[in-house]
Amino acid sequence: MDQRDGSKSQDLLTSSPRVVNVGLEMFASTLAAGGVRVVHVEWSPPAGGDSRLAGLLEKLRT
Amino acid sequence: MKSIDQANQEALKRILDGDPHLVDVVSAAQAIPELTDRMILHAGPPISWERMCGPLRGAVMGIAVFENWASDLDAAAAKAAAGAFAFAPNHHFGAVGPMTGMTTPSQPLLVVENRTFGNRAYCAINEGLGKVMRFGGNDAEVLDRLRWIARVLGPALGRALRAGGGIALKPLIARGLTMGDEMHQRNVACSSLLLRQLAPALAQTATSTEELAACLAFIGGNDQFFLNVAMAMGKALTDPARNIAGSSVVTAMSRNGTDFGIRVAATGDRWFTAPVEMPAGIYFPGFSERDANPDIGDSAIVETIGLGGFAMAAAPAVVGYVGAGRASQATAFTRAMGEIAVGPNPAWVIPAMDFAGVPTGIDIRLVVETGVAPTINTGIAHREPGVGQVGAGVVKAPLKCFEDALVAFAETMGVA
Repeated sequence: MDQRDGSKSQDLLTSSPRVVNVGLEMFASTLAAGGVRVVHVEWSPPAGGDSRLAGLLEKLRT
Repeated sequence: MKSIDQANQEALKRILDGDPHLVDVVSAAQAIPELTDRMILHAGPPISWERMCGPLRGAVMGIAVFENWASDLDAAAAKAAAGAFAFAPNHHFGAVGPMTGMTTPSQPLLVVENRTFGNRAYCAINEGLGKVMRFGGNDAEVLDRLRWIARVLGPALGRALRAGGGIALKPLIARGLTMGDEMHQRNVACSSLLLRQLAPALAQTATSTEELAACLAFIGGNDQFFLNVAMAMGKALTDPARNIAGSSVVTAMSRNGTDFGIRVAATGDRWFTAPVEMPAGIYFPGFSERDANPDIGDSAIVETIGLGGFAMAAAPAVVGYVGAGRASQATAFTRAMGEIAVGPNPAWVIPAMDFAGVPTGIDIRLVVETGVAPTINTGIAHREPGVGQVGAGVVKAPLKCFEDALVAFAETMGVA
C-alpha cells in the first residue's frame, strides 16, 4: 500500500460515511433517520428474482 | 426477420400515426351488425353471469329492462341466470365501455374514425357522475336518463357531427394536456373544448330550442363527458397495432370487476388474465373501502395510449382527487410509466415535464423485468348492484397478466 492509499483508508475511518444504498429502501431510511447522508437507488432483481422469467427476458432482449 | 425492438417501433409508429376523428353517433345495432337481440357487451375480458361482480350484474339487470327484454330488475336477473342473454366483451366488436361498459342494440354509440388506417371504434355516451349505469346503477332515474340519451342527445350529436364533418381529436387532446387533463379522471378541459367545437353545429341542426338547451346543459354539466370520446379514440388508435408479429407491445388493458385482462400485439386477440386488484383512493362522504368493488372497466384503454395514469404529470389536480399523494408527486407517476413504455408521443406533451411526450406503447418485457406495473386512474363502484360510484382512486395492473403474456410471447418467438 503506498502513502496515498493509506491516507484514503484513514479518511474512510475518520470522516462521516457517505452511503449509496441499492435495493431495500429500509436500510436507507434507517441511516437517514440517524443523520447519515444516503442516496437510495431503487433496484430489484429482474422479474422479481423469478429465474424462469429472467431467462426468457434474456433471450427476448432485442 | 425483424427484431423485437423493430417490431415494437412499428407498433408505436402505428399508434402515433393514427389520426382519430369523432365523426358520428349511431345506434349500436347499426355500428355493430353482429350485436343481435338479447346480446349484451360488457367491459373487460370474457365472463359468465355466475362470475360477474355486483355492479356488473346491476348494470346487466338495468340494461335488460331498458331494452324491454325483462319487465323489471328481478325478472332480468332471473333471465340472466337462466342463460337468456348472450354476453361478450366490447373489445371483441371494436368497442369499449367505461366501468360496467354496457353496450346493447338500442344505445347510441360515439363513432371515432382513425383516418390513417380507416378503422372505426365505438363507445356509449357518458351519463354523468354518481348513480349511473356504468357504476352499476339501475333505478328509474338511471333508465330514464339512458332513454333521453337514446332518444334526444345521441341523435342530436350525430346530426351535429355529420354536419360539421367530424372533430379532430389529436389536437384537442394535445391542448387538454396543457390545461390539466389526463383524460381518465380529469376531462374538464377536453369536455369544454369539445363542447366549444360542437355547439355551432348543435345549434344549426337542433330540432328545437328546448332540445338544444337540454343537450348543451347535459354536456356542459358533465366534467367527464369527454372520457368516452377518449376511450373510443384509444381503441381506434390501438387496433391497428394488433397482430404485429414479434411485437411485445400491449394493445388493450381492460377489467370486468373480477378479472383484469391484457392483449399483446404479437399474440393477437388472446386475453391474458389475472384477478383484478382493489383501487386505493378517496371515497365520497358516507362510503369507505368496505363498500368498494374491485377495479372495473374498459377505460384503461386510455393508459394503453399514454394518457390517464401515464399522463399524471399533466394533471396535478387529479392526484388529490384519486388520493395518490401530493401534487408534486404527479411527475413521479409519469416518469415511472416511462420505464415500461417504448417511447414518448411527441404530439402529446406535458408542460410540467419540460414538454416531454407522454410515455406510449407498454412493453410487456419491461413490465416483467422491472416489476413496474401500469398505473391506472379509475372511478370506484359500490360492490352492490344499483348503488353507483362511491369514490375514485389508483390501481395497478396485476403483474401476472404480463408474466403469462411474456411466456406466450416467447413461444411465438420460438423461445422456451
